[in-house]
Amino acid sequence: MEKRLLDFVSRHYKAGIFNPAEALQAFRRSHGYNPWRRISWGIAAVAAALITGVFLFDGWKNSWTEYVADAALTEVVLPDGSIAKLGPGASLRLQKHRNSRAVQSKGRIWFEVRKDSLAPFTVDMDGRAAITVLGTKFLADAGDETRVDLFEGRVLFCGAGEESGIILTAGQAAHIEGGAPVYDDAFSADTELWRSGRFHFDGTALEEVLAKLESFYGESLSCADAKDRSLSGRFKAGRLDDLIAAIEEALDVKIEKGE
Amino acid sequence: MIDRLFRKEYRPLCIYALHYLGDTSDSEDVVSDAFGKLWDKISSEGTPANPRAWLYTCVRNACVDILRERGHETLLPSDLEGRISDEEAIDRSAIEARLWTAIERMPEKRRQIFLMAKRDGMSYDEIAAELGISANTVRNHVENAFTSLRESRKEILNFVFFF
Repeated sequence: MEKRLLDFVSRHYKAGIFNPAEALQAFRRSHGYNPWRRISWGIAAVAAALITGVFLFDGWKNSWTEYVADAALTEVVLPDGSIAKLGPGASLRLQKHRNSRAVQSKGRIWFEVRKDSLAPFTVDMDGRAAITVLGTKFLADAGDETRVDLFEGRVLFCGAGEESGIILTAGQAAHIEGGAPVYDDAFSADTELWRSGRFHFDGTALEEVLAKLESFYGESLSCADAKDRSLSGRFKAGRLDDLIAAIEEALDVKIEKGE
Repeated sequence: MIDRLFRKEYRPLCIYALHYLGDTSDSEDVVSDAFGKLWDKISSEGTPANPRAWLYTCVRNACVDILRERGHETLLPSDLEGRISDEEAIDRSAIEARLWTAIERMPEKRRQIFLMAKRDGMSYDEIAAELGISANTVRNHVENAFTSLRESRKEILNFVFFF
């Protein structure tokens, strides 16, 4: 019995991890300064440094709370317990004293909505479309496109200002075309990435890896000697520069940002 | 209060999560998240009656969700030898956190040799050859390591244990 405990501990032991003091510091950085004390950053250590701001606007009842992700995937727990994972550059607004289950989105955001059959959760996609759900997981992309990829549950997807629209079920996707919603041929969101907050590569060709990062971070990347190279491993969707540095070191290549 | 809970429970909770997930960085994510949720709860509804129990429940639920999402059939914690019960994982995590701390506090050389012997399963001779020291020195280091672990264990439960 005692041996089993020590075996377990020594097998997993690594210097410097499971460090309460460090974790507490990261926690303070991400929670300490916020007067509302309602925001929980899932990937605290990474996210803390990367959040550009949580802006609280004046006027109590009508005040807007805005969550902004800067350079990394940023997880936010909303007042109703739902989870939103904001892709780089995405933002989310809500009026928590009015209806915290009515949010406005810009950019790509993965939602894991807490079930509440009495109160639907609505996403206003940058004024271009609206999604109404009860409890589900989906990716709302109000970036260059206006589209939804539904992973779990059912949602109602409407054009801006419309009361009726189309109903999506798990595995379906749709986008807005000429102001109206239309079904997509295929579900295209990388669910593994959005749920775990990590890129997962398994012998993936470096060209494909770079394409994935380009689409996620909206930056163009190039590598002169990408040919015949492949990458394996799980990488946190943190800052792009950190990811690039990790890949450069792992594969001994040079990756350039920009055209 | 959050500070005290962090200092006291962060490491045991990480080890508890590790029994479910088997990955140290996943475990840290789950535990940080649980503290965040506790913080939210405290600011909206007040402190739960038993914050420690609340944290363990929160971590367990998160771990079970992750295992289910990854398609695991059994949603139980385990150690190197097999499945264990949830209660056992909770009980053990407190002791294992002490052992972890005891390893961390060893002098560097002693810790290195201890981990080579215990974790990597190397023989005294192999370690001696690799580090260019005598097998006897290796044995002394390992014995000292076990002594300090036993001491750390005595501190908490006040009884001697046998490896």
